Amino acid sequence: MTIKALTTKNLTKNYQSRSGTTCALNDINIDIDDKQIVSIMGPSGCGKSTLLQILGGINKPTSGTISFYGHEYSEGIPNEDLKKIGFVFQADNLLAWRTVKDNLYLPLEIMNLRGKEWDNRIHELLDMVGLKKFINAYPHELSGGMRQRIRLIRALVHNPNLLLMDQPFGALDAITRKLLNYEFLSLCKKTQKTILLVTNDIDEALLLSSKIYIMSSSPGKITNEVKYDLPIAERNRVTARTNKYQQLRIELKKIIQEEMMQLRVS
Amino acid sequence: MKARRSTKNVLAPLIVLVVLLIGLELIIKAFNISRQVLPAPSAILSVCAKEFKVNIWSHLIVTLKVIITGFIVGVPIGIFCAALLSQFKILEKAFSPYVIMLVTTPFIILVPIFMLWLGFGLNVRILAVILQTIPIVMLNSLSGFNNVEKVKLDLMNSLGATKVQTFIKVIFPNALPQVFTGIKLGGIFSTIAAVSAEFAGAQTGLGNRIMYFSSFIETELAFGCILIIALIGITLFNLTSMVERKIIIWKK
Repeated sequence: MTIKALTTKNLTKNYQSRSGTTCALNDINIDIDDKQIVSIMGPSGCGKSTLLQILGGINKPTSGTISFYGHEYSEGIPNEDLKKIGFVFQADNLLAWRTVKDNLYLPLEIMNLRGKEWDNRIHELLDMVGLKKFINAYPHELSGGMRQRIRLIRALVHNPNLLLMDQPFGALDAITRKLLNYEFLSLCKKTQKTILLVTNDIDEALLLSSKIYIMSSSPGKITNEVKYDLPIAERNRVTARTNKYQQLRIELKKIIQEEMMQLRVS
Repeated sequence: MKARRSTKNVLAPLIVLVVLLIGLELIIKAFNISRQVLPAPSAILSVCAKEFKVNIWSHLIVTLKVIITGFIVGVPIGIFCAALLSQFKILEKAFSPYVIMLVTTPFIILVPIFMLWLGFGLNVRILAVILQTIPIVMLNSLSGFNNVEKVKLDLMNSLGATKVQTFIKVIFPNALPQVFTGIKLGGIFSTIAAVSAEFAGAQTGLGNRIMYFSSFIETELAFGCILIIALIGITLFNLTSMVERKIIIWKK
């Protein structure tokens, strides 16, 4: 029995506003194995970003618990354990006044990690995404795709166990997005991280993950779960043409369409 | 390309100046305007050049001393107070109406009262400059410190950063453009405050000289002093802009 990387038990988030209490997340129960890649899909406003923010220490849960590699927390994951998590944001939040290199050093500065090994790690990661020669560039000198790659490896510099990704490729054009999907797949094979990915793209979810949770909105809850047990090492550019993939794709589409129908009815 | 633009930046205002001076000179000559009303630019220049060493230089030094001391003391205090207010919302709520009150209060009206406390020395004027500079620097810096995109703060939270780390590494550098706007305005306010204080009651300084020369109908010298004060303001503004361009290189 392997230890779970992350599980949530009845995780709930309520927001207080003038018109009363809004339930953003209701009894969320998910689990992720070590080195597993899991996706979350759902309509906008279903609370999938809120869930990720709670797991990433940006937001606090109202009730419920999170256990992270065997430690159970009810107030959200403490700062000490956040060092084992990397967060990739949907929005472009590279710091404009820092060069690529200094942006990558930011997590290390905060976590007080110093030394040759970390310097080497930054160079390695830059090499992995093919941006070594932009090490001293400022963010505004890079294209959107390049900035996205830098944000991706910024979440990896402190060598976290778990990577939380909030629609990381959402702001890119379709071609760059496909390209980055495959690039990310090979990065996953190399780094072997546990990953929780929020996405709105069926192909992205199927290509990368072995489990896909489907959420519905108001209140946000998990309604479905689809498994795809092809090991990550065996996935590549032709995976999308296999029968199993196509079958799962149709199944997923159906689930999402039903979800949308219900949204319209209610 | 860049070099050409910068020569354009210098050349354009200079041409305006030359055209203005020649125009003024011609109008004054053509309509035979008395020097007591409006002295010709050429006269201002020649008289001031002759009298500069004896009648202007020492007063220029005094005024510069007041402006620069007040500016150098006031700017960091203003930034520090803004930092404090931005991080403790209760302080901001408690103090912000008074900050705005201080910005709008012309300190010239308080100078006579300061003199009752501090005598007639330079300290009164320096105090006036400091008190006029702090609030305007503070107001601008505060708006910078308060306008950080949430995604940047989220990033720091996701890394488990402390409040101090978040301020030093994100909030402060993110606000630098607004802080510099505050500093530039601070330079202008410092100049205005120093000259006003000299008007209100002083035996030295360019502000005092303007009153002194006017009372003796030395209009050339009075106008000369006004131009020098304007020059001090412009220089301070441009020096700050220069430092700003050196520091904020990430802005397109």
